[in-house]
Amino acid sequence: MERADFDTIIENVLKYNVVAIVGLEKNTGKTETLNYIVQNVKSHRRLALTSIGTDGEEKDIVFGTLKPSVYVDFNFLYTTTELFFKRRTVLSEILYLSKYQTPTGRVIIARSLEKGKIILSGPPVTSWMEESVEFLKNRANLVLIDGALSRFSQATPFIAEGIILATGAAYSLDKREIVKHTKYIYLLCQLPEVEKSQAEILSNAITVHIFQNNEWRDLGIESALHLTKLREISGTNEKIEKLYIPGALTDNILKFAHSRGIEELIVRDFTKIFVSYDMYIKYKPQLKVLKSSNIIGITVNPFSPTGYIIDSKQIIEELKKHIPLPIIDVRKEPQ
Amino acid sequence: MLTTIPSKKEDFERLTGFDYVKEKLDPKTPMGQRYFKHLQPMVLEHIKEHLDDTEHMIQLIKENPEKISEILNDLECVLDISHTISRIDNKEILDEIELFELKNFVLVAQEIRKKLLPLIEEFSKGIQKFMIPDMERIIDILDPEGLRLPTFYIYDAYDERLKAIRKKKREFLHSKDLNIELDSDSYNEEILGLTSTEREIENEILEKISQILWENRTQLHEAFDRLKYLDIILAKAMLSITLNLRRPEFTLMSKEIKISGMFNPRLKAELESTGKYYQPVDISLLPGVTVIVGANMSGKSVVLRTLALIHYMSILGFFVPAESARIPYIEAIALITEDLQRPLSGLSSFASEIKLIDEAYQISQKKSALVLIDEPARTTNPYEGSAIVNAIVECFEKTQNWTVVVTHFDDIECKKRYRVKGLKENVDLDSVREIQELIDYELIPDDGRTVPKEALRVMELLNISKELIVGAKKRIKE
Repeated sequence: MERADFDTIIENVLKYNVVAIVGLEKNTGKTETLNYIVQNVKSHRRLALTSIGTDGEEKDIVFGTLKPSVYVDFNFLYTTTELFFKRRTVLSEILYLSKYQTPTGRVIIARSLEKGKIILSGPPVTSWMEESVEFLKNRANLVLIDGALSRFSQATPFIAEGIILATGAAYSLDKREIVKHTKYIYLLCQLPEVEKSQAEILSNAITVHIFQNNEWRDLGIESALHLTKLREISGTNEKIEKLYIPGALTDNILKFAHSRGIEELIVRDFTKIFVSYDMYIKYKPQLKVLKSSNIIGITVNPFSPTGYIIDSKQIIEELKKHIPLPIIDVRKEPQ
Repeated sequence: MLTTIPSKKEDFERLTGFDYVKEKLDPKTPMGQRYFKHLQPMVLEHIKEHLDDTEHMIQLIKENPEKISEILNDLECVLDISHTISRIDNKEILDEIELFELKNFVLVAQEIRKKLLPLIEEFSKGIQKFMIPDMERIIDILDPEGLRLPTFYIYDAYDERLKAIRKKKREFLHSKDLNIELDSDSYNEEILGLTSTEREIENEILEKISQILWENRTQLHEAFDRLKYLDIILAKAMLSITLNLRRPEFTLMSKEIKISGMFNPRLKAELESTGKYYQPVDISLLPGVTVIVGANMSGKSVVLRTLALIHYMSILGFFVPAESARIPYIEAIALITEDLQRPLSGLSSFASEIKLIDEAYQISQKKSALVLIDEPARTTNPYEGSAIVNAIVECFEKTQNWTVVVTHFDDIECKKRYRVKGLKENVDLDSVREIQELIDYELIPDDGRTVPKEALRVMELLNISKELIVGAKKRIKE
């Protein structure tokens, strides 16, 4: 385990104002990663912590099977929801209350007035997330977003400037699987961006667009999931050069694009890609994004929820062969 | 209180174009938004109050546009605390989140009060009633540290014991390295113990604060009601300025409806957006039936819809789309016209139309009403059709309610008749782009019994196939 990687991850985090931590799977140690980063940056930055949605892990808390464990110090900003706010042990000042409801009440933005443990909870949708991150950005200089399990939406580069990827035994006990999948996510984050002029045309598009005869055409359908509709509208023979999908890019759409000989597929960012690794390898699509993502480090958690422990050192060594990033096991920081 | 035909509010508001007017309303507070969503007809006394206040407000806006726009910005920050207020009334104990909202509310209310004060000194007459009561006492309760920030927690300043227990908790936390002890049982136990003592004191404080708020509840109610009313009247005044609406006048003595410079806001906006001119019209109606005749496309339906709109808006306490409007206070408005968005439900167009007319007739015998019927019996044969329309005219005349019937039939017996002036003579056809420009929409009194025969000219202007026009002309000559 190299000391340098631990330092580099922290240095990388300090370069940005908004960093998201996403896990490949539940229990890949996101919270440990978050706490590790918090401990190491809190003396340099005024911190704000948020998370997306009310998710499985929070349900665990509701039902009392999981303990809250996000650490805050004096004068941190954090988001939570009414239910958890009422149960907190940390003295906190309410700064803002959202109008909208989540299953656990309205979202509260609070400021901690002492240290302790809190439960993070936040807006369940990205657009609303953007609003609260904006609020936090104006009052803190580093916003850390705690990812919900296996959902990447909060890591959209339109919100998060940098991403830390948490991977580990919870994803698979097979080291090769972990390495394969982590590499794949890394690759998706490296996808090239479309040219600026095209990004401008597409950035406000909420419907499927196709590029034909040198111009973008709006198909007027919101999701490419309506494949039949897409087939009808896009005509039978005329060549489609590029396809822009505002929503999720799935295996089926990929197959469709391949069968129609579409050369280039464009999505908003990597969080919209739901193509399985195998399909990706099979079709090797030419994918572009409106905004590319910036992974600034990877953490590996060797503990699986079933009790197995794998050797994080081996995984880190293997990953480092392919990924030029700091990769650490947060529990094994060399002194 | 007010009966309408169509009876479904949504249909009536779409046909009259009130849906467009509603879209243009921009209330800032959640209470104001709710008020306009569930608008109710008002009694005359209430209407007068709204009209008076809207009038004062328009003047105030025109003379102090900047200050008003600041107040509008403040209003946007007003939270709807009606639920909290009713909890205070019931002597319930509020929680921190409610106090946070309440504090925001009273701070904004006080801010608006400060901005209104100088305006009231200047224009004391009329706007006094918008004055927000002084919130200082309630603010002091919710802001014992005097920072006047829109944030809240149960401050140490409330209670010495609270201060002490929090200090103890802080010292304990300080002595621990949370990284190591985050999940240890002894840590959790100690923290939970301290927190529960803290919570007990906090609850006592919440109880005390709630009691003081209950004592000051009249102030809160007043502030809430006045902010809501301010928002409503501001929205009405801004709307009047945007759409160029005027105050309607209710006639109590005279029975005449007299409207001049009447316009339909949606149509006007549509025309003006393409650089065209909207021609306002004047109309006056005496009790009984008035018949309007005129060529196709001469705006007769728009006249009916706008008449309904003006009466409807008046009863809701709005200014109206006309240069001036003297109208009676009525209890029913019936607008029977083609609804393109609502295909007939099972009945033929004739059947559903005649049923609505009958409904209007029955209402008209019991209540004061404005009945507007667009081309009755147009879908049936002209022989029976004209007999039916004559019967309608005769029966509604007896009700002595304001009734307008638009028709294309000849031989309709009615003393009061209007004709749309219609196609202009001597127009240079080459300079005309749209047929609307050829039509003079003015309503002129008419004493004849025949209707203008302009359909053929309209056909010509629309470039309809020659054979059709020649064929029709030939038959007319015969």
